[in-house]
Amino acid sequence: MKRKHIKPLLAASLFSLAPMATIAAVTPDLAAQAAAEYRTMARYPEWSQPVSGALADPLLAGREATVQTQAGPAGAGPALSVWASDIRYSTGDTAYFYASLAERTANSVNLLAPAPRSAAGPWAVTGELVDNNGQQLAMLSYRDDGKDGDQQAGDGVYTASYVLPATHQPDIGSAKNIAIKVTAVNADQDQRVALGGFLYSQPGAQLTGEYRDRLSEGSLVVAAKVDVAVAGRYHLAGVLASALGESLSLSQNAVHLEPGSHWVDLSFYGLILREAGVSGPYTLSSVTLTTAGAMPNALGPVVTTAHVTKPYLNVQFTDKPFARADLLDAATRLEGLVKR
Amino acid sequence: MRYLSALRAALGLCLFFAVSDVLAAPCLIFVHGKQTDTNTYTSWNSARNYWVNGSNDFVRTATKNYSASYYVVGYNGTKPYWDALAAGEVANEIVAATNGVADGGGNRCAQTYAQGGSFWIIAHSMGGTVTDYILGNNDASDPNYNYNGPYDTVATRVGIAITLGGAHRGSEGADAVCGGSSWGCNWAAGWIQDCDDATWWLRSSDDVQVRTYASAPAKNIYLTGGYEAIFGASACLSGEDDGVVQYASIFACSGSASASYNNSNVCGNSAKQEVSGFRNLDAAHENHSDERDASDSDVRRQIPNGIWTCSGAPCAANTQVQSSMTSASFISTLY
Repeated sequence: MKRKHIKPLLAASLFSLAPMATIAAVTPDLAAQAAAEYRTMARYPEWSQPVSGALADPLLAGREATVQTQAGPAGAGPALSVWASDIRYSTGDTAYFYASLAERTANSVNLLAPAPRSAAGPWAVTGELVDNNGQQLAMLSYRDDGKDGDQQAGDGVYTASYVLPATHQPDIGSAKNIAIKVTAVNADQDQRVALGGFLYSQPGAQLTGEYRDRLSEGSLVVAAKVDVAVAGRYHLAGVLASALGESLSLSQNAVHLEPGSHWVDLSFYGLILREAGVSGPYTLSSVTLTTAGAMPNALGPVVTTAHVTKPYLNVQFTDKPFARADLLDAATRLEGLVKR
Repeated sequence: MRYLSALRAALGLCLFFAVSDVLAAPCLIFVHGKQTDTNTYTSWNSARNYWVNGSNDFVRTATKNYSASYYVVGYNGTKPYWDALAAGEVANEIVAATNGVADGGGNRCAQTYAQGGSFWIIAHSMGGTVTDYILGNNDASDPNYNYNGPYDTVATRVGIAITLGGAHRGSEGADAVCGGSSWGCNWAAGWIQDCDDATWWLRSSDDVQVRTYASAPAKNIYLTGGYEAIFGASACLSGEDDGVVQYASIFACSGSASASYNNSNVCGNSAKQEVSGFRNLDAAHENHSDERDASDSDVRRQIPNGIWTCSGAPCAANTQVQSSMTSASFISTLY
């Protein structure tokens, strides 16, 4: 049953969450705001976008494993958190799975709810690996004794490992989702359950580690050599960084490839490098090859510091905006709207 | 006779202003969220009623009592967000809307794309995930380009998208349901009663996340959502939430999908799940159901990089910017 929300007056008086009064605030013209942004974004193609140097490498950030956390009945503590060492594995890889139990930071509603009894350890932690058809792959026991991949005994982080077996591998060029249902039980039979997951991936092509670069039509092209086992659609993505390690641009390309060896281009739009004001050599700081064409895609590993380019002066790159037609058209249409 | 002419002129003027109102406004295309059955796909009335609660009607309010034209999409909300009956159906319907085709209720956009129309997607919950997938796979360089529908045409024709409680990074509620640990979670309105295909693909695990299978959206996706947590349900979610979706997901944050955020510290525009295309609007004291049915006129708050301005400058995060406004009314103020 839904319980009505905490009214702002109550919330503020209890927790001093925020100023009470509503101040005179207005919304700007969203259409005009979007149009202005589109005119700026239109300077670059969709396949090569600038990356703020202050941000983490976007390819690596996309591979950061999410921690799944679930509390006990009615929010009882401690909550069980589970995570994996990667978001994808292939046959023969060793996957590490982690679990910990800790009290959870309460949100504004939790603060008003009666606190359920918190359970105490020690905990026995197990994991069940199942695919999306419910087929069990394995049962795992987690340990916190500093052995078999567990980094430190008694630190509260439980660890289990699993070598991805050929018996359950997906067809080459495909992938399947695997869930790991983790259960923690204490001596009082209090139970905590959390569900994590990863991709069991068998890409249909691999990066060979060979790269070459060239200047083409005012842009920097880094080509990667790939070995293709099965025909299919392949997606190549990479991040170019300055010599100081600042991410400059994310580029992507997708092509259909037949079996054999091929060179696939990643083009970093010249204007981005020119505007960054940084000359080369540049570093292909991360790159990954995905077998696309079916869901879930078969993700490949991310290779870091894959290639260092020849030296280029940033003024060798184009100073011409790309003029993305779809964004410029959308901007014009948005500017034609009248806010009332 | 003179009075008749004057009356005719006045009527003409009224008609002129009414027509110009419609033409000066975007056509709003509504995309609903996850379903526990196929009703919204097989029955347009079910899709339309998704946005209604008694006398409250999100579509009516957001369109300023129908002064803006609109189209209501219905898809199979039990399927994965990327399925042909989800993303594929939504893409086909959006293109139809932009061609002037009427929805199941006879509603059509006032101007087609060819006539210069502007089209805004308004998506709730899983509708946000579907939108991410379409707008992030519109270019030939994207991993799942035109996977099962005309994503490229949608991306060309849509001006912006606005998501309400969007499950951009999945839902920890789906984790609980699929993991069998939803004890005491009390999910609102049966949003996620069982672990069907849609729920499985709405978990917070990275192997099912839309960001893993899509690139940056071709057009901006503007983010709003609720923080009216629900007793029970919210105990199962991290940080502030609307009872079904946690803030890290509503606001499409990079990093962990279960990071704990509130109105003061939720990720800004430079820390989103993609390098571009996601923009914060604001947060409302609404729950997941309120967000899409205009039933709770309540407090709205600024969030980091939010849209509200105070005395000409962006309001500080967590500032109460409205004391009583539904998300539907909020959208009506944006055009």
